[in-house]
Amino acid sequence: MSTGIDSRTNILNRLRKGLGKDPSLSLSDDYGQTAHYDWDKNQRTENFITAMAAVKTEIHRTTEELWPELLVKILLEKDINCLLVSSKRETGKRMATQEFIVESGLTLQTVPDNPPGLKDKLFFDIPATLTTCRSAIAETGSLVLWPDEHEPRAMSLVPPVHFVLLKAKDIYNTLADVIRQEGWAIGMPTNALLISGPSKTADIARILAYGAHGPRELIVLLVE
Amino acid sequence: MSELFVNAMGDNNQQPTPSLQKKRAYPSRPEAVYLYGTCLVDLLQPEAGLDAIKLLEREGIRVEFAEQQTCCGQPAYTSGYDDEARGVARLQMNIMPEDWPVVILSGSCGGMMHHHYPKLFAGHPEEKQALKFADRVFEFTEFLVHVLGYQPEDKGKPETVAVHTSCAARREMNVHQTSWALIDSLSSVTRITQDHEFECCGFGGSFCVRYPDISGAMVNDKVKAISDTGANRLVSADFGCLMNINGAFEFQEKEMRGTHLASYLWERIGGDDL
Amino acid sequence: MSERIPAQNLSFDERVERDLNNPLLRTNFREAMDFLMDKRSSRFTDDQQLQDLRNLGASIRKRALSKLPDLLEQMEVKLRENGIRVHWAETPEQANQIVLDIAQHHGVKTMIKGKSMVSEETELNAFLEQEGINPVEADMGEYILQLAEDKPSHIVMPAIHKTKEDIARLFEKNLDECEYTEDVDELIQAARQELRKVFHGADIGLTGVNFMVAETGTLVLVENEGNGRMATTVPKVHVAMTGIEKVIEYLDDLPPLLTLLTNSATGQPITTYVNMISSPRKGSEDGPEEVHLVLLDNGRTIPYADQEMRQTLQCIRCAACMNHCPVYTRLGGHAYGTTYPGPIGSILSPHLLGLEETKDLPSASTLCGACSEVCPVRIPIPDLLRRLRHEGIRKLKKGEEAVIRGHGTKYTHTEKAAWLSWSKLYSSPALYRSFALSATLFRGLTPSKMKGWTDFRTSPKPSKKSLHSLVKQYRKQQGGAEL
Repeated sequence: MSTGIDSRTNILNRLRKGLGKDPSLSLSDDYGQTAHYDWDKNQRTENFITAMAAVKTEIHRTTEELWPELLVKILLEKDINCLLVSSKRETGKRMATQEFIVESGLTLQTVPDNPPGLKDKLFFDIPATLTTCRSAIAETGSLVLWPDEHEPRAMSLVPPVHFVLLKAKDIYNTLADVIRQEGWAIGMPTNALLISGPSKTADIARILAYGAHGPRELIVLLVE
Repeated sequence: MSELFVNAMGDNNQQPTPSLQKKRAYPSRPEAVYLYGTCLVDLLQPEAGLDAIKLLEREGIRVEFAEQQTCCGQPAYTSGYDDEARGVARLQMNIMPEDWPVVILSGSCGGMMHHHYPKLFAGHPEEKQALKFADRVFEFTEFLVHVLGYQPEDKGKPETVAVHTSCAARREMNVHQTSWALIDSLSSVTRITQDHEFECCGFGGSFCVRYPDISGAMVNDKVKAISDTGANRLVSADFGCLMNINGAFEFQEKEMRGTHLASYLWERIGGDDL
Repeated sequence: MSERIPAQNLSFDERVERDLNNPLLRTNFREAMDFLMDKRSSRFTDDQQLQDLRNLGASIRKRALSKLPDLLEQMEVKLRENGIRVHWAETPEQANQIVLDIAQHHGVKTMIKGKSMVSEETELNAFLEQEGINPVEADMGEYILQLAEDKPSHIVMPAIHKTKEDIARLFEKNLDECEYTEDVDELIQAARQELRKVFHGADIGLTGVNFMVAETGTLVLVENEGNGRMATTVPKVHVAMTGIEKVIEYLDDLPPLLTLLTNSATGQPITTYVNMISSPRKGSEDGPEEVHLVLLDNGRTIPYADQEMRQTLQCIRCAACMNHCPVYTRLGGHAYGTTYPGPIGSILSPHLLGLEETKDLPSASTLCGACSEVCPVRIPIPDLLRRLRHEGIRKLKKGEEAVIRGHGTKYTHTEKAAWLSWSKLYSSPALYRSFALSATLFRGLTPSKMKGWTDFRTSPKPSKKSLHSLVKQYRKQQGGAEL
């Protein structure tokens, strides 16, 4: 790719020449603003639920104590008999200690130490996953995930059903708040992800269909 | 279920309730104004210009019609002929030297003078003059509503009216609202909204002869939308659009002909009967 | 060269005629655009909030462009630190070659693609196919078009011109085990199954980019389907391809632009996925082992050199301008003959392809301003169209540098002479008076046929008297009041 370096120089030179002596703008030149919200904790939760429900996300309000039981109930109702969790996360740890899981006939699978090897399983075998999330956004109804080796990206993407455990205290008003308050600009992860509903498309005649390439169902266990 | 693609909300034809926003500063009631007729009104619909003069005079405003006026220069400007446009624009600025408002019978030509003259003369000797001049230019309905606070006394029979506002009136001058406000203040007139009222009629100056088929498709849709309202009358404060729409009405052998809003107001207040 | 739709040697006028006279296409586009306009307006109910947000969006894009070369360098450093490889391409050919080299280096035979308008711009698929690599489009709309050997007609909803019957027939013919069905769920599931096989086996994924963040070295991809996530997660190599103008300065600049993009495009508060990629996989994470970014110029540095035309590059590709354009609504995207149709295409394509290739685009507009009214980053599209018209008929002065390829391509002596006479007539009150007098006196002689105009309208007839004469007469009646 010998042209690469020349191209780079040529493009940058052209841009610099084109810019000439035009002033460089700074943040203080910005004008305008985004919407501002004065929501309290309850309003934030309610707004989050409304926004997520509007994009066909199932939300179940629950508690620290009861969520594993609720999860199993939902799985059985949906006829799902296998769930992938991370044994390194609260989700996997809690589920592993639930004795009733054995009785329910549910198989609990955990993410192996080498996630790339997980690919075939996720594509062909696993009907549902449960992941944690880092936070959530009330304005848009979004879950914030930073996938890693314990909860790989494909876990929230490939199988048809994705469960997410969310703590109500982790809901922010806006994405801007999340970015600032969590200090994202200091160090971004390999992949930061916002998920707002199940995968969908309207590419055929503007008719909405779910489960285009990602999960057909997104289910949030909201712990209050 | 989903907010997303299904269940399109709202309706394209619905207009927001006019809440007369003032997007620029307006002078107090002047003693005199210049009336700018525009080249199309001059040659094709001069009665509208005369009606406007009479109406303003009846409101106690002295009206000066600068006899040397020709055209705002827009045809050359939108075709990219800046030098040619400047020559014409310069004349219009020079022949209306007093510090009076320039009341103009078209949102489109108004947009040219108010919005584009400063750009056209940027970096030219007339730059300052153009800025000052642009500030004095008011579209006719805008002037009636925002400067005079005009309230017409409706003496006509009950009827329904469809309104067409030009794109420049709406988007450069923000005066679609003042057209509506005037029609709405006529006690026996009901304003009816048309399908895609916000959409261009397809005139576009030289566009309509350069791309006749696209323009034709647009004006046909416009004529259909207006006809479908079942309104008794069509009114517009822009004669360019009216020439286009009326020509299509006549071509399709329909009875409807649009009237310039100045003439319509004059008619409704029984101006000639006084 | 690239950018143009192959197998289409029709002129603009011929394409217009073809598409205007296709009633199904007309209805399709009208309904689709109405739908998208309604979706957008249902999200922007507070006008003041919208205007504030548009101001911020415009500021962010203007600020980024005001230091574009610095930001690109800063971003490159950051991306390299993060482990992402950066490639620069001046032309579509260079960009395609870079992608091919990467693919060949890995011995790849199949490439799975997320949606990328820049790869449409470079005609990457055709190039790869010639080189023995099989590119598979995974965005549902793009997949449909690839099967149909067709091109996008809209930048956000590429297959918007296809009916579900078209697609049902297409899938029946091309997909294993897919019977004819007009059930959209079934059609999508059939495509999903087919594309899953490709995703599972693909070693390289190619996507576009919506925003690049200089501060953190992050590529941001926005989508609803998950094809972009698949293409950036499953294969071991990810190549992102985008224009040099897509960079923003800070991560804090992202949220307002995201809000503007998704709400303006489809009336969504946010898309299903916002995928922010800052490095290849680390340790035992999943995701690609290699991430490449190909930055394409292809003429973008040309409008950059002019402060007014630079605003063209503020675009965030939401397509609101085409959704609201009365001309696009009636023609659809193909009549434009360029990768980017509609108002944004009419101000961008002349820079990418030169004015000679695109000379109709700036003039095929009424300058109605519906586009700039909704543009989330306040690009003054009608002003830029007019500017391009101006450049198209203008001869360069001696020593003056061209601001666009194909300068003066529409200049003709006849037209110039006509406007000169027009200008003379209208700058001279005396000439104008005699012209008005003869026009009104000889109104009976007005031609009843005027090219173009009278196909749809009767010809306008001058009044018996001009306003000038009427006023004179009126003043006389008033008793000689001073004029």
